[in-house]
Amino acid sequence: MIEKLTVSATINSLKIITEYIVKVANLGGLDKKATYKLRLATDELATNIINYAYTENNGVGDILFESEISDEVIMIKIKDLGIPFDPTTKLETELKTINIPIEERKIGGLGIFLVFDGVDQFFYERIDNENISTLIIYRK
Amino acid sequence: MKLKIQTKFTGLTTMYLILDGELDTNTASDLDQLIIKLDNRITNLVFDLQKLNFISSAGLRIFAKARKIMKSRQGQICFINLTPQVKKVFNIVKAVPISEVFQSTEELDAYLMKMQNKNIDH
Repeated sequence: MIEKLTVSATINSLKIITEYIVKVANLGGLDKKATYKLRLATDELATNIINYAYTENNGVGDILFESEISDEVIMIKIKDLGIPFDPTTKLETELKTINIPIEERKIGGLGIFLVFDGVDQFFYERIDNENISTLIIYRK
Repeated sequence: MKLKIQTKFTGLTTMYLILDGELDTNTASDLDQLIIKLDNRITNLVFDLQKLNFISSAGLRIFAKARKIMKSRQGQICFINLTPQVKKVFNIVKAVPISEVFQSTEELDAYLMKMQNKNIDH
């Protein structure tokens, strides 16, 4: 079963994205806690795309979601056509700054921890002009 | 997905902000605006998070900003009644010193009382 969603990369889309993710989580039978974590992870990733991905294009662009539920996992692909951004590299950079007080850390760094905490596996690919983040959540 | 902010004064310099709903990218600016516009005699902010059922990094940033503002006025911010999920988010990003988090209003009141007495002593 595949569920898809395409929205424009604007703050107003976050509500639709949340509804979509909660629906996927429910279809996959995730409990409340796992749903919360997944929602937080996608909220952070989407916010990042909204804020940074399309800066070279006056902020105009789309975010695509593709979710597939199998017996064992929920796999969510989040795609954008914006500037290259690898969340896994970002995590490594941010880990070095975790003990710096929050007021002194650079904007955008916090969310990355919440992304990786919210999923069981995370992959990033840059294919043609597309950023593709793949989130895997075990259905237990 | 809304955020309701209820305010309560417990003295001239301390204000409670009771957050009900979701503090995310969408609603963070509401809280931000409220804090920016606070009377500058307010030096202590207490965030009651009992009814906060979602927080993202956008929300944590507002808390960090609030802390900065209150510290510049020789005050501080505190948090009470965190749900386990919100507490977990706090812990993951190490956003909040443990000294700012209180289990209950009673625990916080005792602390604030102690702080005030300390100020009188010196």
